[in-house]
Amino acid sequence: MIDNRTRMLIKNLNYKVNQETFFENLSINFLPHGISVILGPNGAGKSLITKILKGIIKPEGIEVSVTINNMKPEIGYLSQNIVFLRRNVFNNLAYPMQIRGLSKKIISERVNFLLNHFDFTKSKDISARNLSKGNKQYLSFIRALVNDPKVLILDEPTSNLDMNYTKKIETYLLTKKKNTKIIMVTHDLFQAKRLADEIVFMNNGKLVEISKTKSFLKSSNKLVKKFLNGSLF
Amino acid sequence: MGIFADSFKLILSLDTDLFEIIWLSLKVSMTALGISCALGLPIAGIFSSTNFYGKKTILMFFNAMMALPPVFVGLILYIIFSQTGPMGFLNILYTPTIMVIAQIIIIIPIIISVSVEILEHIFQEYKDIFETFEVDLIHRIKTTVYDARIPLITCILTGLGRALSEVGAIIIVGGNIIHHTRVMTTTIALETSKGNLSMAMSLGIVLIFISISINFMVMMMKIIAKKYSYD
Repeated sequence: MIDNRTRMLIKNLNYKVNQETFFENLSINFLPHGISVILGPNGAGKSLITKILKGIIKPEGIEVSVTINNMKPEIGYLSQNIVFLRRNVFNNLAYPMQIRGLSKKIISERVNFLLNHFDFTKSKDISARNLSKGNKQYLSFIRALVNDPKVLILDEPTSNLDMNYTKKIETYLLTKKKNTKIIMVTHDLFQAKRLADEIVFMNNGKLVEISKTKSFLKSSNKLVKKFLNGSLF
Repeated sequence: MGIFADSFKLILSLDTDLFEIIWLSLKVSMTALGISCALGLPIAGIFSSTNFYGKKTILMFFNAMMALPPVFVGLILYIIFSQTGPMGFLNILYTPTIMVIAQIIIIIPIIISVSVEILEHIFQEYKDIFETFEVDLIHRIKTTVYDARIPLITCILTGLGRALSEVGAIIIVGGNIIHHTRVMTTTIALETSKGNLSMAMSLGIVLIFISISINFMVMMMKIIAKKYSYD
């Protein structure tokens, strides 16, 4: 369970992109529970934030704290850059557990459960690399769940998906948020409205607003208004 | 045409001397290949998955070694392992052991250089997966080598082809001693100079048969790769 010793924050982030300062003293304190959606126009730095939270990018001198009950949780991460091993769907899902030395029985049970839950069983023997773009993204989402993470960081998890898959993922996230902290990036404002407990709005590497969804939608901030009107890209 | 007929007769008669030579050739080359793979593949795995000072220089060295003339390798080994040489006390000159060493020196740069290129490409591609699932170095290397197994087999078979066709180094260090260090390529050279063309030709035919078999295996591997590599 997530309690008050849970922290999801980035403090004093300074980061350069192509020798130019992009993040300057950026601090974000995410809601410790529920779904936090990062919104913002292209180039706002949303994906970079997810990579920093996951620990893939480790800028010097900043404090990144992703802890549940004072402990580092299992983090499930979905990147925009989707890559699969030269193996079938089943073995791609099994891989994150195999490298942890879990038994074949546990791995098989977990993978079959997920494939069944997400109606993907019929594709389990197909090469993951030969799937369609949408199916790859869907599989990548399932792969992020194999180690039963307590924190899910998702970078545009439904950008290539049809309504059916999008709905399945959204339903799953709304159920999962009860015991899993979810931070996700999306460009879909309607999706943010459907899912978010908190919206983090960024522009050009700066945190413009962080607030509960209802407050965000009524924000008086000019940039937020522009974004909500669809005139900020 | 008489030479060809005699050669085939010799092969079909299952001549013991002939098969002893073929067997030793395969034994020396396969041993050299096995050791080269056991040493070369982990080295290639480390080179493709890590960055360290001097890596490019070492890789350039291995690339340059691919073009090393076998006769020169034989000469250097001869100097080192002859009775007056620094390693002469080992008494391995004119034995199959030194022939294996010579072949290792010749094929290991091929195994390393070609494998690094194959593995580096896959490793870079998998970087995101490794970082996302916090995969340790040993598992990164294992995963990359496993997923590169089909192109790596092609590379290994290329090494075997090089070993089997090599003559310059092993004739110097092996001495072409009958029943002891005589292999196919050195026998062909010797028997040709003696005018025993049917013996030379029969070994040539066997050598070509083995080379064609290796190429056939490479081709089959590529077909299998397309079918089962999940690429």
